Amino acid sequence: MNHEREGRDKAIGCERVREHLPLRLSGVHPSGASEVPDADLDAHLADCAECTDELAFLELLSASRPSPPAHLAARVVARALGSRPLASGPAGVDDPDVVPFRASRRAPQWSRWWANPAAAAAVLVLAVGMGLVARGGTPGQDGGTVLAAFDAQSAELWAEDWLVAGAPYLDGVSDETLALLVAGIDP
Amino acid sequence: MTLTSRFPEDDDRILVAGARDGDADALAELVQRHQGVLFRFLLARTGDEDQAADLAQDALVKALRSLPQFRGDSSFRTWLLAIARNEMLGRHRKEGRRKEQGLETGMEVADDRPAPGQALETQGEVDRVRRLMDRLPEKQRLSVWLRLYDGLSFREVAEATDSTEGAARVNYFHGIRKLREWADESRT
Ligand SMILES: [Zn+2]
Repeated sequence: MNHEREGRDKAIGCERVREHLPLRLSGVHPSGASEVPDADLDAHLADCAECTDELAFLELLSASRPSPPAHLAARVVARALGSRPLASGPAGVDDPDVVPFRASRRAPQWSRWWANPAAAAAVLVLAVGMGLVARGGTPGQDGGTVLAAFDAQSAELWAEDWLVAGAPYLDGVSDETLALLVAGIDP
Repeated sequence: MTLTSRFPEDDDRILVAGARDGDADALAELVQRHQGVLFRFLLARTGDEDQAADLAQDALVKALRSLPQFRGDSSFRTWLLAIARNEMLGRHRKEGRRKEQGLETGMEVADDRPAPGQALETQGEVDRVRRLMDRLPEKQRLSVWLRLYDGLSFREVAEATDSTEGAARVNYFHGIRKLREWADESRT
């Protein structure tokens, strides 16, 4: 549409450049197709003080980018994993061994120590250190106990989602995912 | 922390398929990848970090549980933001509040008045910028945040804010222009 030339020879106009400057910011991942090629942006920026200025301002703005709380991902993963078995093979809620979600069902007695986050964290750290966390094969009671400790403050969520489904299935879970779950423990 | 070794950075389809088939790592990576934009979207809407985190958690869990129903007509991110929006509206309705205040389609006019007692020079830079962001009308703030912080296309911004692509673009530019003006004012 309108290409601001400002007396200089620019392949693309300022407006189009500015539209795409956010994608140049660190930590922002471009999402769409048909974005302006980097070379064109560079060429424009080398020649346009206004757009360079704008980019600097956007960098300043982007430094204020709010981040989600550290426990968010861990809680989501824990709830999602607890809501259905995640195992090798097509096991689903139809699996006869899996009790489907039922919020009214009571959590087992050992869940009471969740009330103490420090104790929960300690148990988890200990258990991870001892390699008790169930990964692969059929997780036993130890695995279930340990995994339930990932987020002591989400005791209700666990009771709601995870425990009613029986022992969690975490076949082949990577260290990264476990680390994510561990990160959900509030200090 | 991302599992970039296992999953290509630009393709959610593999993650979605993996999570649907019971791959916990794929599910975790999907969550890691999208929790930020979701949280910020809800924070821009609610202005409250706890509420945003709470809604984000519910929306993500709902999305993950509904993966079998995700047909891939839109991106996973767009779908997730739509779920978040519904989640928020549902909660508003439940709480008997007025829904979607000031969120009609189209552009909005920024409030030009300086916030009372605002001593921008004395704030940390980040704090200062956040305060300026807070002064933007919601649709401008949403467009600026989604484009600036998370690199959404204007089409995606439009879908997430229930507006048109043109309006999303205009809201972005108006928002940025306002922020620059306010930032300049606060320096002089
Ligand atoms: Zn320019």
